[in-house]
Amino acid sequence: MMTDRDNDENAPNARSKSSPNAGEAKQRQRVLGERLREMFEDVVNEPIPDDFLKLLEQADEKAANTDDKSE
Amino acid sequence: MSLVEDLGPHLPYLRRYARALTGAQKSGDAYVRAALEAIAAGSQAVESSMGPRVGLYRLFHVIWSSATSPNDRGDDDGSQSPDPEARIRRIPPLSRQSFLLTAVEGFSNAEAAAVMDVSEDELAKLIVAAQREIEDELATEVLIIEDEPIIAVDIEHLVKSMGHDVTAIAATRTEAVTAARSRRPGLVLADIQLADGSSGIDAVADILDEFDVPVIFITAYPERLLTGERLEPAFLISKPFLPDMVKAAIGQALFFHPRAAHVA
Repeated sequence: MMTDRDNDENAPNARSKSSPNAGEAKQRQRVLGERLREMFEDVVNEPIPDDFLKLLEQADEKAANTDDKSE
Repeated sequence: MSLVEDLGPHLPYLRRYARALTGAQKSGDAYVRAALEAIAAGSQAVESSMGPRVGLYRLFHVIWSSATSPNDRGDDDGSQSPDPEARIRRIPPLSRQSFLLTAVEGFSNAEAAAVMDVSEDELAKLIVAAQREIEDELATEVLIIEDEPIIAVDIEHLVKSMGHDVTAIAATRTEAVTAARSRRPGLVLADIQLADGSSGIDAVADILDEFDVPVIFITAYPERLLTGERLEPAFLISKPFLPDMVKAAIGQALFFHPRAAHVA
């Protein structure tokens, strides 16, 4: 379905171009997103840096200490 | 539940998001680390009314946006590098986030809006703006190989509506090769069965012998490509086609093709 409404005159190349609506934009981005997830698969699968979980443990310990004191 | 149990499982995905957002694992990790340090120091708390994952990304967002200017284009060095990660970084920050949070991280619009602390309306506008940026960036010149005039005009209209130029419409293998030589396209859309009995597959093979270009086949005979031709195209669309499918395929082919030509 083609729409010629809201041509963006400020766009660098305003030929017969029509801006995508929100639904079209999401649909086209979903396709890109799938490919990007494949591209970043290694990042998700590799172990996270050691200090990341340690920082969360610290936060947990701190919270536990605070709870003890408040009791 | 502890923070380790609540947030730990989401950290690999937050690292992915931070990497895509900043363009490098090292700087991405630095922001993730800063967010976790803020939690450990008690200066930031995870607001988990929409679940721990939204809360974690939201906190990351606060840290990241306080450290970057609204006009920042990530680690982009200003070159027009065609690799997909550089393309992502050329999207302005807020639109870039809306795109990555929904399309890559899989958040709903409501969740992404909560992460970014904007309304859903604003989020939808950012997503449209991101799409406009992506398509402006990918604008190129397209060779259409198609022997049926009505379909050729349909495809031409569709291609132009995305901001591309059409270099030529070729109806035969010979015409296609001649057209590609006289004006090198940044994308080829090819039918398979052509007017004079020649093949769009052969035309594309001839063109690819001379230079690298992304190709999308649009054909009523998809099986001809699937049964043992030497080409193995990533993009194959069956006729009759849905315009949205063709547009999505064009976006994907250009976004991920290493040498897609950019028309300045």
